[in-house]
Amino acid sequence: MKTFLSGRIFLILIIIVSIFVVYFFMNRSSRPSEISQEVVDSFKRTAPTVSKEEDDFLRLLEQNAVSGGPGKDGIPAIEKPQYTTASEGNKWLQPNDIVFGVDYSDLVAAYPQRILVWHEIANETLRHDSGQAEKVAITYCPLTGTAIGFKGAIVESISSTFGVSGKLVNSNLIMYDRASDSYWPQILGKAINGAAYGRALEEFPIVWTTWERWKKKYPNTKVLSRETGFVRNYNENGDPYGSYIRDDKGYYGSDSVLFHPINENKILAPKTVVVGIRDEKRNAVAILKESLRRQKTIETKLGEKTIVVTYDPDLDFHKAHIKENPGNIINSFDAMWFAWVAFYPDTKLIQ
Amino acid sequence: MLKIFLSIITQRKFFLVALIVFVAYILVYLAAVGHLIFTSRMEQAESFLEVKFLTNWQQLLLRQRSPFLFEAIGAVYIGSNIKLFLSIPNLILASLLGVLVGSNFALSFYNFKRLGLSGGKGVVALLGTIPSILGGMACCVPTLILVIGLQLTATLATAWSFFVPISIILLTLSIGWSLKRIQAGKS
Repeated sequence: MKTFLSGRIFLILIIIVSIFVVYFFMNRSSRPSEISQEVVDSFKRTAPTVSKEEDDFLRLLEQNAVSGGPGKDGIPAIEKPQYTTASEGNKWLQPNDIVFGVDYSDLVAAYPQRILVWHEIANETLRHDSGQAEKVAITYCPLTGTAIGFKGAIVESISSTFGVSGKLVNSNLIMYDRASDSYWPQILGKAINGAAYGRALEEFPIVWTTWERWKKKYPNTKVLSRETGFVRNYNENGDPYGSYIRDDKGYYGSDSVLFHPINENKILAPKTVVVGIRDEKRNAVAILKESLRRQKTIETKLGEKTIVVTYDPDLDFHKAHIKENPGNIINSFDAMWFAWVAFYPDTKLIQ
Repeated sequence: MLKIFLSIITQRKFFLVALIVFVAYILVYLAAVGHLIFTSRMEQAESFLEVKFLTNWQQLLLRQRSPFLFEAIGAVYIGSNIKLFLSIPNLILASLLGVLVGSNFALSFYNFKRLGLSGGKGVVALLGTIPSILGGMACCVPTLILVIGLQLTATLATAWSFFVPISIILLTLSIGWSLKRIQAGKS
């Protein structure tokens, strides 16, 4: 009996140890990659000044970063996006399907939510007439309902692509850049650790709209192809979190959030869509999207500046600019209220 | 114990039970991890059964999506509504779990049929299959958590990734336990 028991315990121990060994080797890829000295020096030379308050906030975000389940690159970014024509897109996209429209430089393209929900980031390289290449990232976080375009230039000499770190903060996607392996929460657009700590990425607008609206405004648009280099369910019922179209909206229609946010404000239901606008000093304004639809134009203060937010009924989207200088566009994007207020607890709210 | 196991599993009746459960389990597991989907295909199917591989399949062969969940390297289309993702490590894992679950069922059935022992405890032992099904759902942030009504914490997310190995341990122990009962029943 004793021999039998000790044999059994030995067997269990072997199994447990084997599982841990396999687990360790399977997760090696999630460790930070080697960063060259050249990159580190380049970052050091132009390091931004981070105030004590900002430093505390960034550290708090880093401390509250949690695993979302998949490891680093477990949700794979699309590295070399392939596109099709709009008529090809018509074959599989419904008119009311959500697309993230980009009209930036030479790129006019629709990125269907059905595809980006599985990848969260599409890295694109734009070739300018001058011969220069510019890296940009089209990013989408399903859990916070935010789509933001980022330019890859972290410092003047270093332009990077981005990947999905597998971490979340306030349920928001944390990207990592492939030059310095620093972490960038998408809504913040600032690095919370690594060599790029405290730096902010330049943004460009992404339009959250429907396929029908987008192709009406941009009939010659390209559409991101389902040939992404990965096998996923890009069909209508493929979104693992729910649906923006069906009656049963799943995560998008529920009041539950998956991860506890750092700051909470229950003045609005958690998933209420607000138009978020912020500046580098963390001044922030949230406008209830429904109110903007009704009022069409809203003027408000963002820090010391006056900004004007206008609603575009054709795209069901918006633009914000500095009042004194209409050409000075400030990025504005849709966000779920709980996520916006978690990053910007002192935000002004216009209802 | 191996001799007892083989003497049972090679009997046609018990082998069939194990085989049916094995196939059913694999289908449930693949559906749970989202590798077996029922959906309308947009393109016209060229034939009833089609197999398509990605051009970059070599790079994805062993690439992980989350612990114990691997990338697919292609897909099998069956008719217009069924799509099976092809991932070799996942199929191996599903088969391993399927063998363990099938063996558990066959042994419980044997206990019940031949030895007149209550099958209840054997079925309880099959609760060990649940973590593997749940673990598979960790393909993305598990939305099942929403249904359960929990908020995810770092601890829970980590525990989630261990569900598959926990299943393997529980199912293996339950086979050993069943065989011990059979041995005791025979003597």
